[in-house]
Amino acid sequence: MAKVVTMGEIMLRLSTPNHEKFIQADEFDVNYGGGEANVAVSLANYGHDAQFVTAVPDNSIGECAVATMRKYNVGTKFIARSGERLGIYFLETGSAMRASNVVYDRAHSSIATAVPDQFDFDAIFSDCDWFHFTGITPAISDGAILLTEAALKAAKAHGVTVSVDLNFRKKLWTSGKAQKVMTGFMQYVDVCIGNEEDAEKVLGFRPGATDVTSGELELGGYADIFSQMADRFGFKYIISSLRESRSASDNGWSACIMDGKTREFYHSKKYHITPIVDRVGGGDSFAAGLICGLLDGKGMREALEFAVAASALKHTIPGDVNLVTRADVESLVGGDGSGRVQR
Amino acid sequence: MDKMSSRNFDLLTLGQLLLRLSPPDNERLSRGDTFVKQVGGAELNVAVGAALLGLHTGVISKLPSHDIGSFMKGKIRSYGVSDDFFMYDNSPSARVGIYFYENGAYPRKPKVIYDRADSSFYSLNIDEIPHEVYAASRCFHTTGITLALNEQLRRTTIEMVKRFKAAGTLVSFDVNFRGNLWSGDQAREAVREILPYVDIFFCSEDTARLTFLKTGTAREMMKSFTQEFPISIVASTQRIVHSPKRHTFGSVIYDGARGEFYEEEPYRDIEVVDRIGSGDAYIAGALYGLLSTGGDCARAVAFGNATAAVKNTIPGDLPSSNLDEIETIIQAHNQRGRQSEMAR
Repeated sequence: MAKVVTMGEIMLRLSTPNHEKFIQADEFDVNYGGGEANVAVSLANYGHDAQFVTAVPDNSIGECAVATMRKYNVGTKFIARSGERLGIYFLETGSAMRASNVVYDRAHSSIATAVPDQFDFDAIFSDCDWFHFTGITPAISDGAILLTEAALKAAKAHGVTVSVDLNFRKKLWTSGKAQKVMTGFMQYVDVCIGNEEDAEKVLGFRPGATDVTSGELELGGYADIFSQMADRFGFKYIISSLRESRSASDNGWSACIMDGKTREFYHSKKYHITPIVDRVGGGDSFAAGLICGLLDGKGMREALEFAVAASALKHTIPGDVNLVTRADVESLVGGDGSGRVQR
Repeated sequence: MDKMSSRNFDLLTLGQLLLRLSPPDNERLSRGDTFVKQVGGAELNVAVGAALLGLHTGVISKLPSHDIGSFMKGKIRSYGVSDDFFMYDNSPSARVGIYFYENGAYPRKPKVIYDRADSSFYSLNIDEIPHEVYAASRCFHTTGITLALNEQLRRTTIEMVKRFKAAGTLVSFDVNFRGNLWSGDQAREAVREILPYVDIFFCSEDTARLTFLKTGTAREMMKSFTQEFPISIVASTQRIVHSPKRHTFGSVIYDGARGEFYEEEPYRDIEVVDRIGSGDAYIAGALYGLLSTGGDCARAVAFGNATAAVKNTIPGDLPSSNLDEIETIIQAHNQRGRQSEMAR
């Protein structure tokens, strides 16, 4: 099994139970998650040796976050204890035409105030096969930009394959700043994952005439953008998930991939996901599925089908993390989406 | 007094509104799968307690305009406390102050993790507070916690105290010393700056001795505050902790104008469920006693002691007793002889 490292923020997720609005709920369900942490959990579930790198405060809340990673078989030995607070996000899960609602409270978190010297990147990346990060981490703070850059340089120096999920977060930074920072990081990246909005906001590419709210897809536009991205950054693979949002409970879900060298383009099978239980972490489960597929030596088509099936399953699981096994995913790829009890 | 009776509010308090997140019952923070979400804060507790007794109260505070801020606003309105003087923070970094709270049971102490730095309240500026607030209420109350949070709030609070006083509002202040927020020296310096404007002063015997470096008996120390500053009334609570679940609670109030001390038999052997907020409940009761009678310190002692004693039996930060309940408790406390064991 391969050794994979992800780095980013893990947050305390406080969500209202049973689709309640914030103003109604008397309590919050407590979970811990974050884009890169979710990817690490998924990869650990598939049997890979996943390490998660972050910083948490030295208090009970920070320890809970670490304990959650441990519970899911993710390595925690490179997690630093520093700073004042764990980032928080409040989540109100939508339903049907009511969209989910997130309130971030993540400024001044431990990872936002962490510095590169706290981490022994040589130890972290020695014998490592894959490093995954997202556009969320450098969006957290200027310090986190330095941290991301230090990690990327060390990963490259150790010959590690690097993947990014562009993941634009408009509540954390502007498109202008995202492009300035992320464009510079693309020289270290082998596998680039992002949807239509990310490609535009983070790297400045605009695919055809896709409107994310219309639910329509124009694949020709993607092939064109992917080709431009391959020309400019020399990516090995460029991938986008394709969400057709009919309502908060009902999405079409597929993905497309391009081989940066041969320019072969492939669109996966499409899943019709309804009712959606929890879509938070859907993109992370997609990235993890893709990384797993490529690490396993699958061709790009098979790797993509694995990723799409894995993330379709994530939409049925409450919480941030995708708690499915390799066999669960293979079964869905094999065509069994019946939902019949497995016995 | 005619001018006073035209004022819309009986009591306005200034302070931070905190989101309290606690695992249910006696569960540990480190194992909680759910957190009960409540709203807390010393000055809110006072406003809620006084509102339950029948005063028209409000809190002056600042919240993020996002949905978590709205949740807190709704919760506070549900207690009958006014949100007329809430300021709102629209910035993207707006945040509510949070504290995580874990219940204790002997020998495990209750545990608090504060996560309040950089919260919206910390940016409260004198210029954003509407001018009409200063003459809107008969009484204004705040605590040393607000003074302690940061330099910005210290300056804002001191200026507000001066303006309330200038507008003829009674000023009430509770030292509420918190060693985790500031040092005794810092507290002494800041509190001494506002004592020239304070009418009603709440200060424990320990704080008088350790923070204000007073000497002598409790009564001598209380009296000395009124000699040093133009304070009318000094109140001091006395809690004897027999065990974490068994306390005795009483208080002394000194009326500087009459030169008299007021005290009653303390509430003995209270079966403590949750002591958090009982000091604030005392202030709610004492201020009710004073404001509802035109300054009767004996009533202040009776209502303060009863409201605090019964708060010790109620889970959560907030008092939850209306006037009927407190009057019944006062009556029972003063009654000698046979007592009914159940209210029915």
